[in-house]
Amino acid sequence: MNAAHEAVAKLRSDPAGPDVVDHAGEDAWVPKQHQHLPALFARTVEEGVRGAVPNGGRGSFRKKVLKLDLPSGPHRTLVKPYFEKIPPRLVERYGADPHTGWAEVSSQALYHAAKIGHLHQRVHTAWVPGEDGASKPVVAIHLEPGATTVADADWGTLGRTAQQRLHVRQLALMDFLKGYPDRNYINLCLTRGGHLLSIDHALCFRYRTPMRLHTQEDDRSDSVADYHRASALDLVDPLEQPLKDRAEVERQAHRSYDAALNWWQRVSPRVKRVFRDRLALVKDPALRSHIEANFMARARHLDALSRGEGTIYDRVPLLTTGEPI
Amino acid sequence: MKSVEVVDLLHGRAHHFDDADALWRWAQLHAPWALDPGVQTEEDLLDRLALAQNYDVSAAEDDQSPAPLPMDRAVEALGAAHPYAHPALRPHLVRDEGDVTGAALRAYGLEPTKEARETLRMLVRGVKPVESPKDQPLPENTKVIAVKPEGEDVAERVRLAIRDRSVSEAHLGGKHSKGTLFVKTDQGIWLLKPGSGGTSPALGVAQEHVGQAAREAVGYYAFKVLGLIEWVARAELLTIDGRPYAAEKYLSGDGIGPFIDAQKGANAKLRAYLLPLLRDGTLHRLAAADFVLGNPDRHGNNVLVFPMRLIDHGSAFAGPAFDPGQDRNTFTPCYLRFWSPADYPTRPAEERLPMLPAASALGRRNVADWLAGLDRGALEAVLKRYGVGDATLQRFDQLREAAARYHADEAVNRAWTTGV
Repeated sequence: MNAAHEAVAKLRSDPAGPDVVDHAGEDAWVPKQHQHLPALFARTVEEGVRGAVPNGGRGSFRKKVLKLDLPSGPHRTLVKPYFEKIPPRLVERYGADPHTGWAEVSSQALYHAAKIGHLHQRVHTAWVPGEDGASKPVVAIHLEPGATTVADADWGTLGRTAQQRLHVRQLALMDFLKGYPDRNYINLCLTRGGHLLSIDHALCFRYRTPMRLHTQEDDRSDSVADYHRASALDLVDPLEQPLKDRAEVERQAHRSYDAALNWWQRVSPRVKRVFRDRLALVKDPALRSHIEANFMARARHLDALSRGEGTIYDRVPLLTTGEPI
Repeated sequence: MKSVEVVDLLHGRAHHFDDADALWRWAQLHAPWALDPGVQTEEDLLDRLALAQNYDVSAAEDDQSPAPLPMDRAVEALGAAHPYAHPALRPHLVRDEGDVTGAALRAYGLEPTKEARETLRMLVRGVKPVESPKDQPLPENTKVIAVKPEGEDVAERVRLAIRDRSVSEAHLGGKHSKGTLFVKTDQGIWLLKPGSGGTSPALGVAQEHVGQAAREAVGYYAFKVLGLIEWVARAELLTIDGRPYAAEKYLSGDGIGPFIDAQKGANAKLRAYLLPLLRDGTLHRLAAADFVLGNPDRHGNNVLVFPMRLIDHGSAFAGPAFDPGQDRNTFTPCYLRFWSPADYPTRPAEERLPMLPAASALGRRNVADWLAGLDRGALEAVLKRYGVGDATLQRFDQLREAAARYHADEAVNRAWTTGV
């Protein structure tokens, strides 16, 4: 067994995972733009081409970083279990379902369906040998060389272009759609090329914790505006202008979403279709129903906004299998 | 706590921790996003960090030793340098302020019964034995009265300390330290500060007739209603044999010290510490509070760092003449001035404005939301309760109006320079 084998063999999954998601169906979900990556990854694990990078976590069974040789140069790939166990104390916030790998791959699939795949980190599932010799699923995340978090970026360069401002709003719409309350400043990167890169989507599709400002502690609903102004996206391009008239602030903020909502109108049917394909992999009926109810309520909300009905400040309740929490 | 490593996979850096306090301090500084409401113990924190894509931690599976008992963890938390800054205790303290022992028990799933409290106190005393000084500045028949009911628990601690001969003179340096006493209690050390120190020469200070001791207490409660209680030490107004004293929780421990000392020494460390607080708008919220409360004395000796705490509100609540932009006797808060050139104080107000730092876009929004969400009536009630004049509320209104005209962080910077 080589170093790469040893590194990934110890990764521990939540044993409940296979009852929740049909992970065998994931192999088909590699975007055509990087279909070469799974083979390279498999070769690295098989041959130990460059071996495991010592990532400092002595005895860590949660994730490993491997080095791959790509034609463009050395490349780091993060490997973690497809079914990550949610720690007990965090269950109230995120739920116990270990569909982290499904969420990561689904997020990427939706970005590609929406024609913004380049704003999403490159991920795929893979099978690696476990300690008991049986294969087990992992998620391989290809770390973008030279990318920095927006916290480390030069703030003077952020939000300067119309394209980047559009990307901010597209990400906010996608975060709202996926119920992603974890868009903090380490989960939004800037590539060497200067475009935004969305990372770490393991906690998407949970719909248990609203994205909220600290002044809205008791609110159990979400709005598109909150996914922008209460997240790291606001670091890149602030949603609201400091005007005295609050109604005018919201009018301007909503108008700034015109282009993004036009984009949503174009991609909505395809995104919903891909989502339904992805949903078919979720085996647990309660989880499937919960995700579907929330996702479709949000998708319909975005459809309405794109038709000019309502504003980005309108709220959608968090649902539990169709009923508000 | 067994030693652990937290690995920043994006930057390829490993951070090694041998004690829980160091881990919490690091998380507050570098990974505040990990401090979810459900994160209460070190294990929770490590689990949350490991859930993030960019971080990994050494696995608990390495550790073959038995997990520490809840009471051991409560002892460790209560013995920490700053229980109020301990993330496991703080949620409980917010709900039941002042009951540190109860918070330490609840934080680890223990019922705060009388027996459990006594056991915990005995164990903590075993860790940090309290010595009685030889000379007692206060005789046993000293009369200690809490001026307001909310200070009664502190008054009782002082009475017990006098009975236990645990009061001594303090030698702190600074104009307010003369006559200050140390009081050792089962919940740490308290300072008794007499309300008779020299007053600040800053404009407006003499216009307010409330005494220094009362200003300390009302300062604490004003920070509380402004939602910034974790950045100040608790203070209560007492009378001791008829003289007003402020009883203030004394902050000490590994690493904590005056801002001014940190600025002279490990400047890079201080910068790294302050930067996240600047980005998320915390520094501007504190500066807004210091402006509203009319505090001309927020210099480097009245701010502690690692962690940051604002101390000494004895000159705050200046009257209408308070004019930080023009008055050379008023300090711009040292945590805002930190990024400014050395000649900042000598420059005219218009030149000083661009020398003060801006928050991030998100921080700016935090400051604006915070200002908009403040309860003016609650602040007014606190001020009236202690007989403080209206100038504070006028500054509050001025700052809110300015925040509607400018970015909120800029409004704060203007308040301290060109005026609002």
